[in-house]
Amino acid sequence: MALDRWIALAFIALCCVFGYAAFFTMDDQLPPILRRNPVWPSTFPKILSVLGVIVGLVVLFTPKPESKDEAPKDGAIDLKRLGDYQIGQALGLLALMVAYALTLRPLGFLGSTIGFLVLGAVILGERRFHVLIPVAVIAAGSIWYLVQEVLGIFLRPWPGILM
Amino acid sequence: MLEGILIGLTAAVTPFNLMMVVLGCLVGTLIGMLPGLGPMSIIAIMIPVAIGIGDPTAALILLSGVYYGAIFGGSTSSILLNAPGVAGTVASSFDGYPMARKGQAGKALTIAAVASFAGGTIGAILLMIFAPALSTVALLFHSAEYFALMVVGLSAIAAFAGTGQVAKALMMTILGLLLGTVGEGALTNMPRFTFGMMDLQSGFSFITLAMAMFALPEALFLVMNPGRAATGSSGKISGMRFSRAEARSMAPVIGRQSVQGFFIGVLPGAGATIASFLGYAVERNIAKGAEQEEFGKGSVKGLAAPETANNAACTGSFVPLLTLGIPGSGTTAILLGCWSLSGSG
Repeated sequence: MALDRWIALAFIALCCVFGYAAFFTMDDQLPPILRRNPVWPSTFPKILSVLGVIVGLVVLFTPKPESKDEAPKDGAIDLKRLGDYQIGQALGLLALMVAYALTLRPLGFLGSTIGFLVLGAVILGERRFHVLIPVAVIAAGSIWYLVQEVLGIFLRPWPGILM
Repeated sequence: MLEGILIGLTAAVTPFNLMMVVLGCLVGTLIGMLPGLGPMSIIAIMIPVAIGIGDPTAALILLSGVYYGAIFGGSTSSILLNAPGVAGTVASSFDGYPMARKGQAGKALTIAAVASFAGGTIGAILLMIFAPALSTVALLFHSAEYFALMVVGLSAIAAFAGTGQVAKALMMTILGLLLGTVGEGALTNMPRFTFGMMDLQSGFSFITLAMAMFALPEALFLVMNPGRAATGSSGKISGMRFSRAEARSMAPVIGRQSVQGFFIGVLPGAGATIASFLGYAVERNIAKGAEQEEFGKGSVKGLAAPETANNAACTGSFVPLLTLGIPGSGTTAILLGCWSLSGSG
């Protein structure tokens, strides 16, 4: 099955979950006074989820037109040579970004940012730790100083238990 | 009216105020290049400096320069990195980045600068002529008119859909609207799809989504396919000039988009983002044959249109602010607050 049909299928699944939440759960906590309104918070999501399922089905079942140019465009992934790409590194970086977002509060800005920069560079193949660690410390430290001390925006540098 | 313009010019062309223009544009451009820092944040950062000057006129000039500079600066990271610095420059990356990939980064930056300057200047002329009349028109816009404007804005998505791709474009439009429903509902303030998370209370930030849609895939693709970095441009920015033929093809685009962007900017809540997307869509739709095919692949018109429109819209957003004291956007609200503090409000 072509990639766009997989995307359409995933989109229909998303719309079904979205629609379920809109139709059956969203209005539970709506105060009685607001229930008299013609438009509820769930009205627009309901319309969108139904429309989304219809459009997703159209994409899923519309025959794909014959393409004259089979060569992949610049910046597009060529699925035929997926094995040639360094997918492990990309997935590792994505996982690291999620971990960075999740550790920003518990570890503080400096701890999580230095960790992210060092581990990110390691994933990308850098092994000169004597260069890597000072660069990460200086980069994270100067951004923290700019935000906290110059602009006066609070940014907790260390974990809460240390402060 | 002429007398008023002359008084304004006399105040503006003093050496100190001219220095404030240069300083404001420079700071705005430099910080605007940083992805995620929009004009609102930059103006907020510059408030202490503006108030510290002690002269309300110079403060107004400085902050206006920062505003324009930030919008222009955002286009630099759009063109060079495919990472829009501000929301109003997302459309600039559609053709600016492909030009940079072809080794025409210098030309793309020059086109962005010329189009931004022309859009801002023509917008300023329109502001002087039409501001009093337009202020009343802006107030006539209510929910129904804004709904119609949003429908027009969404219909512009057709301009981005290739032949036979309309259903897919519609699918992505609905996905965008679905993401837009996350957060507090506008009518009742009831949280929707927030899962109890405070961070989702105000929904997804547009600039965060733009970064995730443009910059992140580009970075990950370079990681997956290191050879691609070598096939693109050398990284040097050279050849800042554009040809006479390109200037001729850009001129009508700049003329049209200055006017269109200005009038969209006048409407409170519309602003540079809608103006730039609509500008791109309009120019793509009226382009013919090969020129239309070129859109999205490094078209000169495709870059000039959003760049002109977003700067003209910035000028347009001053109309309700200067004539009625009503800020039409977050940025102009901060500007109004600062002018009040510095004694010019």
